[in-house]
Amino acid sequence: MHHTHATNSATDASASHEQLSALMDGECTSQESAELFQALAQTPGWQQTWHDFDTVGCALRAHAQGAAGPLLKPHNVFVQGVMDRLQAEAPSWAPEPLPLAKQQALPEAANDGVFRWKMVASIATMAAVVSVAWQLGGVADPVGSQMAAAPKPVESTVVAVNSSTLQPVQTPQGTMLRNPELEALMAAHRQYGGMTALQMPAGFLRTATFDSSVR
Amino acid sequence: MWQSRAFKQLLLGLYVGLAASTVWAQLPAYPVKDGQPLVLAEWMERLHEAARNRSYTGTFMVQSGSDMAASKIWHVCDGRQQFERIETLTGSPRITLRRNDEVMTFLPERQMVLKERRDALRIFPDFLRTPSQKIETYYQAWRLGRDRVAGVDAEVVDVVPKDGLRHGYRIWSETTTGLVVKLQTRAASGQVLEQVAFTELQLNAPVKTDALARQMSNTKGMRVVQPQITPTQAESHGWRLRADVPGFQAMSTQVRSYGEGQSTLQWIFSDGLASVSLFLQSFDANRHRQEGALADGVMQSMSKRVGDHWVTAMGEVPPETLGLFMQSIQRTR
Repeated sequence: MHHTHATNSATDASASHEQLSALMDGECTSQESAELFQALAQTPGWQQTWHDFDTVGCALRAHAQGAAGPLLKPHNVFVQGVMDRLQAEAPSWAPEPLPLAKQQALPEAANDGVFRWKMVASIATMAAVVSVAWQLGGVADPVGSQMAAAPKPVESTVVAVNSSTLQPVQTPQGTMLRNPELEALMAAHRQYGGMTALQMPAGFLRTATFDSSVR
Repeated sequence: MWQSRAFKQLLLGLYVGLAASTVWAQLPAYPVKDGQPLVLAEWMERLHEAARNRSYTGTFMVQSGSDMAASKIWHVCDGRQQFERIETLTGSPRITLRRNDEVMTFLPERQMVLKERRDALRIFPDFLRTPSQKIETYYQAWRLGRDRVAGVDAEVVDVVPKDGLRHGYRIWSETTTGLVVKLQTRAASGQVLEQVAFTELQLNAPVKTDALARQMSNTKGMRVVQPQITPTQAESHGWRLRADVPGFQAMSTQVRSYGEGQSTLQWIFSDGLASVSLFLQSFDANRHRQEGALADGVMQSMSKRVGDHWVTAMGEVPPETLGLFMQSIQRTR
């Protein structure tokens, strides 16, 4: 019984990986993709698994491209280590095709509209971050220059951080700090401030997916 | 063999075992200069033209910092008008319908529709053609090669910033149409700060413009909310920048009014690929208690008190850039 239970657990884990792989490779239909994402949203830690699959995919494509494809060069040490292990091990199974996850009702998400505003780690870090050089009337004319000069560091001016307006919210990713004022401003920036050439290819899609402005 | 499911699962298992310290940034050292340079403004125009006279449907996901979300999209353009429907697959239900720059956001759970016009959706690509806009001054674009995304072949271009005041971008565009299928915002270190990518895509899908238009007009039973937004000039409200932030042009200013007489002035800047908003408000001790910097994925924000006002700079730029804006903003009266 114990062995069967373990096998079933392994099979369930493989089912998720199998479906993620298909989703990532663009091999799911529109309906399958929608069902998978809705099921994934209920699975704690699925983001990390997605990251892992994407990294593996990049490594595989880079290896397939070889010398002719410098496009995606994964970390050499990582790839070599993986390939060395593969020399010693060979796949010993071929998983059966597995059924799709059933569509599940979406519970109300505790983190809907919550932006993970993260306070800069320390006052010292803050000082380094806002240390910029700005010379009155002395900003370099960028026209004709090869590289616009990076600002030189000066003493910081904004360091104090008061966390009283931050609200802790429990999310699947842990305790996050929520600032409703900043969230509203960020939504306004996404909706009206995204005046860039990237707004139409992708910026608008991003806003429509992550927009938390409406309350 | 490399692409088989079994092989990938084995590889994933080995990866988990090997790479305790492996992080998201397993992509190549940045910038990658193995490709050929190209004219960025022309390339961006091609990306904008890709959606014209095309229809497609697909599923895409957005990764921002540690957050991920997915949506389904239907898009059609008949050469004159663009229609889009975007429906969230994760998080709270939301349907966004767009006709050119007119946007309606349906919130079924709240029986509410938000109706807006988004200027940002119609200023490009004309903006790239204006003499004052020299996007190549601050960014260099390189062709990297080919890749495959959501089952389609894509050409990959790296957009590398020439200074430390802006991030870089890696853009995957479908080889035949130029449709952007994947877009990464990348720090100078190569770290991916944000990614939007299709996971599934059907080009030339039979999407009907009249069907989407009907959906936009169907607000029966829903409360329609239209924000009060007025175009204006920052200078007329007593604000100026002592010096320009390199590469960033003032694009527009608007006043957004709330209830109880409150309003926020939003002064928008762009370098062509990144944008910064300066939010200028009257100081309110009950609301404005936190000076400092915060970050969420690619978005940085910085706030401080300036006399009787509260200034917040926000944008998808390095914090040093916001620092320059904050040091430059000043009252004229």
